Amino acid sequence: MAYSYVFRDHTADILFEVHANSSRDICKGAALALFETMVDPTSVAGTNTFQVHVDADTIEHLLFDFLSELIFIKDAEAVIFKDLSVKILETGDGLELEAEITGDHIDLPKHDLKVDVKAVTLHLFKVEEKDGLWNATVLLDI
Amino acid sequence: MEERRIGPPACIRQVDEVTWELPTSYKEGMRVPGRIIATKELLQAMDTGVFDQTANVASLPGIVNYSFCMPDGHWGYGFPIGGVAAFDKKEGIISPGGVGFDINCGMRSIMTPLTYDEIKGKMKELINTLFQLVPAGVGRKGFVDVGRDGMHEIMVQGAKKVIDDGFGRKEDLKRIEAHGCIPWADPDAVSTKAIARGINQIGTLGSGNHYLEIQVAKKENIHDQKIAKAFGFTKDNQVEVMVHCGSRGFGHQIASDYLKVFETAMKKYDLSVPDPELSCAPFESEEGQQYFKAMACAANMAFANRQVITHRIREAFEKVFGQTEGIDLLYDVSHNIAKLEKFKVDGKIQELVVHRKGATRAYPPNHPELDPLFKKTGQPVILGGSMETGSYLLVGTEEAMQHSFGSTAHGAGRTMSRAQAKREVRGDELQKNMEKKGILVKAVSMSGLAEEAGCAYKNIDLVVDALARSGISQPVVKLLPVGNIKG
Repeated sequence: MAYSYVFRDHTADILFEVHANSSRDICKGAALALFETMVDPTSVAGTNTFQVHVDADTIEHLLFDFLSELIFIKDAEAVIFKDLSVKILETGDGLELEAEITGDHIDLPKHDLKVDVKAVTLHLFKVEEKDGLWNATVLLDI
Repeated sequence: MEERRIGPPACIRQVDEVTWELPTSYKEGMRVPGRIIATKELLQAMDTGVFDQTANVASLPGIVNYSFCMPDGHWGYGFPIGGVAAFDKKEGIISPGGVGFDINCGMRSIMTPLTYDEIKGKMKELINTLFQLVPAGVGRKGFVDVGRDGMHEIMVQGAKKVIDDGFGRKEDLKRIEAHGCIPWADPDAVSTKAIARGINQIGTLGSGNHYLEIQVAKKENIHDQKIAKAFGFTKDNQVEVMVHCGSRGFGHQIASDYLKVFETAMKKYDLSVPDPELSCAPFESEEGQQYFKAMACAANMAFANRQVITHRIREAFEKVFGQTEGIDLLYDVSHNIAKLEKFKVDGKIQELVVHRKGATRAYPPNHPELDPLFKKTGQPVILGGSMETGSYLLVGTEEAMQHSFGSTAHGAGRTMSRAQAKREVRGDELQKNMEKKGILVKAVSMSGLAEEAGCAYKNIDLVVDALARSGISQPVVKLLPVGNIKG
């Protein structure tokens, strides 16, 4: 397992790049960058688990829908995330992602909250693979 | 990777003192020129991305006259922040990228009869009370349990529904853009996910650049005595409250849902755009109309959200100062919306699909859509500045109707990235320094606070100067911050 992510400058929003050795780790790295945008993960105990399932025709759509689903759960359940495990399966029609995410219900004094994420945008969004190395660029609207 | 660059392209042409034109030759596909309203100083400091994004908007089908960017404009996605564009109803498009994810993000200004001298001894208590009553920050739930039927009524009725439920006064509706209700809302166009995401967030601020601020109008900062008096500013150092927030997760989900719908619709209608965030559909198509109706539901939720917050502000003043009398709404205006509005084009009145993304409606005196309360003054325009340097109330003008589809700026506009602001400023130090300057801040997030430091924004005085010179709105009063709560 190998991935890294780095935040880049953008005037108003949050821009990050993820580099990884597999499509699975690209999704994991991007999710962790999303979590870190919203909270200091070391302040989250991870007492609850959430299952996420996403189907898509391409890896771009899979990552976009996965991150969008995490943002949806954050508001719908009023939770904040810590860590995750990800599996990606290739199916006849495309790709399936299964993730198990740990997190907590938001507790203001306990969690070191940062900034709320409104959405994943398509602006600059990309996922590429070259010679087994994966790169993704994501711009979050905050 | 797109690197951040500053300044306009060489081909930009000066039209008048504060109007700059991007010719259609600037970028392939432009159907109309772009127009940037700015002083030379502001123009030179704008992100190069602003010019590129203004040109991209100019390439959209059915655009009328010009693609505009206001003086607070900065690099966004899809439209630039500060972008204004109007489209023909029959030939034109509607684009969620011209509204933004935070549908009907907007500003509210609430007057109080109190002076700073009367509140300064209890500022800490006031800020702590507001912090308790108005939840802020990531994923926070509100205190209002509306239920599914109540949410449905909010989508259709907007601010009126929550006022009927006791969160405010009937007369508040006269002081909200569109009287707090966009009439073409249809909950059938809204996903169950959007409802699940936003149902618990009525009465919450959110985070990022959203805030609730206690401000003071010093006598020397009043630019137009007559209009200031008509708005209720009659005392030196009078206290006013400003709120900046939108439709929370509900609107964000609707925007995300329709981004996907429009990605498919683009293929169906054989449309192509230079940035996927400009995905669009013909206004009169099924997809275009569904988005227009769903967006109106989110706009109505945002009006209701700001109405509940206003009620909480009245509760806070009652708790701390024993007073709600004279805590009156001055105005509520959107700066992220698309609406059908009437303008004169080629000598004829036409109904156009006006998109404002980080831009504010600025109707003049006697405009038929304004309540009689504002017939003489024109519509109040609320420009939220940074929490360190101040904000402005302005009024709409006839020039805005003639030149910019009844639109003006929305704030100071960012000039520094959030990452850079955090490198330069520490949240806890900023909080202490602001307190020394007489601005009491309570924030959920210290890093979030650093990102909103005054140095990260343009000088709002320069933005207002550009607006006044262009004539698309005129300043009434500059307001200085004394207390702020944020997510």
